[in-house]
Amino acid sequence: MKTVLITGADRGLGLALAREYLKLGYTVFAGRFLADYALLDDLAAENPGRLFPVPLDVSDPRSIDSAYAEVSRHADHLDVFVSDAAYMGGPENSRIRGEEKIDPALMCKSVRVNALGPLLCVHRFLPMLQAGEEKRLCFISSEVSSVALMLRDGDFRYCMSKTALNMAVRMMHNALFPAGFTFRLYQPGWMRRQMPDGSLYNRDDRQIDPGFSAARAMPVFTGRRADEGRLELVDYLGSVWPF
Amino acid sequence: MIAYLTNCNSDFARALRERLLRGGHEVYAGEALSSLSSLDLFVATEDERLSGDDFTVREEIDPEIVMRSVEENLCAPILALEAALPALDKGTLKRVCFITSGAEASVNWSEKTSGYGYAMAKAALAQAARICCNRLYPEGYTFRMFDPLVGRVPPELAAAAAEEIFLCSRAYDPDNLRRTDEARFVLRDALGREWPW
Ligand SMILES: NC(=O)c1ccc[n+]([C@@H]2O[C@H](COP(=O)([O-])OP(=O)(O)OC[C@H]3O[C@@H](n4cnc5c(N)ncnc54)[C@H](OP(=O)(O)O)[C@@H]3O)[C@@H](O)[C@H]2O)c1
Repeated sequence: MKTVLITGADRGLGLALAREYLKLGYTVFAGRFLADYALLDDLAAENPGRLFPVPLDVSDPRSIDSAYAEVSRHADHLDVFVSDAAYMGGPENSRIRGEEKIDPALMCKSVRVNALGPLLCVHRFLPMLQAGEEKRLCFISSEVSSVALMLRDGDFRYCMSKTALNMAVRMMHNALFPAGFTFRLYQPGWMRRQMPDGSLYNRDDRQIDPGFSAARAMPVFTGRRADEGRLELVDYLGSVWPF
Repeated sequence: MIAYLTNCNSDFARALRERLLRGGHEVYAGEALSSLSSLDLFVATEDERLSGDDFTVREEIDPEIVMRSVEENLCAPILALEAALPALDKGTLKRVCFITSGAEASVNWSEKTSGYGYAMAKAALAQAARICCNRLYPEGYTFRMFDPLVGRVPPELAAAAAEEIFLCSRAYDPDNLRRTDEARFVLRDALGREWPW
């Protein structure tokens, strides 16, 4: 049995990735965070015994412990870990010369959820991942994590948290690649937001569907490279971004 | 020239303060910010490697150490810049400097397996500083990201390098504004080397 744990799978890209892994025959543990979204329940009903919603707040070690206990009731190993959960929040309070003062509590929250959360999850699930055959760790980052290509002049909070994520992934890669783990850092593109009824909110015609980005991610997430020692940030078009 | 160091807690910061004073500059630190009506050089000297921030992903992770490092190495310097802006606006040099580490905070180069709190905070600081730079550069502000190579280069030598790097202008081609080094956001260390992000 192939198994995957996906964080932040209530909607959007996380939910779409759960669907993709189901198609490939995986048993999916889908991190649940949102109270007002039932899309995961629908998917679980369509896939009895193959998709398990698991309550998971990646910023809370006790919640990660509970999720670990829950997942280990159904499986003795994890092949793949996918970190999708992210706190985006609004753009407010993280702009130099902004209308509002910079809010350090929100800066901290962004790093806690978006960078520290994935590290805590990998640490906690390491025994199960170690027992898995694939040992594949995938992280959803963003093009705004790139310092080299950063052109924005405001709203640094979310961007910097994804840079911190890249750093954490680099350090995990340094430690775990020699132990047989392989890594993916994925920039999913600008995606439409999924509403509780499953519909997609279109703010701009350039936005892509999370399902499209998830389908593009799969060859990246499941494929093998000849040069796995090289950590790269790759986007949904297959292009590589500099850090 | 009027310089402001956010604190003088480290050997490097103290050496830099000495050096700037010997160079005939006015140097202030810490609480003195509120009394400054104008400011030329701003240096966020926060560079805190906290005890306990030394676990690998395989060992017990202390999330609160990571968050304290984020508060001290990331939030504090950015909030200090925000607070110093009114004085910097009135100064002439408008130079903003942050302390970081290439070996520990470069996503490209890091070979570390521990020190997550420091590394994540400083990597994030680079991005936050870059975005602030994008906002302020058109107003005449210029930025320096500097690695004093703590533990490798003696603080006095690092301070000498910092003084040069913080105060000197970088290449500028009046006939082609795209050929100006100040427009590049770079990290340089005490040996003058540039580190990738
Ligand atoms: N959408 C884009 O255009 C875009 C672009 C580049 C990268 N990305 C990245 O792609 C991933 C998926 O994006 P998406 O558009 O599908 O976003 P999404 O629909 O907002 O999904 C992310 C989910 O994570 C949840 N979450 C927040 N804090 C959490 C926590 N502590 N523990 C567990 N879950 C938590 C969010 O809940 P709340 O809404 O309640 O916070 C949200 O449901 C994210 O990592 C995002 O940063 C998105």
